[in-house]
Amino acid sequence: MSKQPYAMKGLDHVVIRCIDLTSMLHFYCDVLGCTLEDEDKELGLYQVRAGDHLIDLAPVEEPMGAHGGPAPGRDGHNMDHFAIQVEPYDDDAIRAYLASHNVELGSTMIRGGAEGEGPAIYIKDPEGNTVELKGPPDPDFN
Amino acid sequence: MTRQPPFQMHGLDHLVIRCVDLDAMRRFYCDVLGCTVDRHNKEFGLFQVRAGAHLIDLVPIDGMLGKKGGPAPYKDGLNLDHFAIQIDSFDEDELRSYLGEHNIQIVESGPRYGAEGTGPSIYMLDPEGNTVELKGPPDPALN
Repeated sequence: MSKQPYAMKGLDHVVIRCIDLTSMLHFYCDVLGCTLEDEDKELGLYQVRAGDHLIDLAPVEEPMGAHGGPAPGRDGHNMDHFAIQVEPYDDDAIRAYLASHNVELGSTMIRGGAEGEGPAIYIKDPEGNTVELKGPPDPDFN
Repeated sequence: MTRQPPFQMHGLDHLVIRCVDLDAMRRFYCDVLGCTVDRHNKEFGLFQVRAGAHLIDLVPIDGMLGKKGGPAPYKDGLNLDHFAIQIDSFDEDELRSYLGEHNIQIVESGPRYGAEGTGPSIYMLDPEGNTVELKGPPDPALN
């Protein structure tokens, strides 16, 4: 067997199937601070930028999202969650900010990420996907 | 209401895929795609593999973490349509030949818009039906 004809650089984007595009765009752009970069209305693909990468939204009523069948439910997900690197990480400020937008907040924990152990908060997007906001690695834990 | 988030986003860090057969998934992500094992926390049921600068975490649905997400993924009605991994070079013939050796099912290929611009992509299914995109560097002719 031959070896891979490439080296991996890292993640590029994730594509989330959604029901209510307006509330998802509000959450990812107005609350989390992503910017709408590209929209392909024919295909039904709405791409928002999160730093170096993209989060794509594919409404299940539009052609791309429709390929995946019915809308996702609250359980039986194939993606448990995904994480976005944020900086700075001030837990109190982040909680107060997200609470002011009525975002469902989970616990804050020290968690391992791609760059090492650091603080992270778990939140829910409007359709029940878990999003982790991951702070920089904490030297005390690495 | 505070109008600006108290942070800046750098980008994605990891994503966590729920799975049924961890061995088959590990073989695909590590032996075929070329990820390396970063950590395995058996107590939590969390198997982390590195894809370049980021992690792909595999969570078996019968482990401590996996149980929290309920039953196995519903094949109709997935929340993640697909995800993409950046690769540093893209030779479609070579990729098809390599993936063919491993009996990987190619779904489609073509230029697609990604985080760094428009470039070539190839889509395949992992052993549990998740669509994975390998994304080549942006093509100057398409940007």
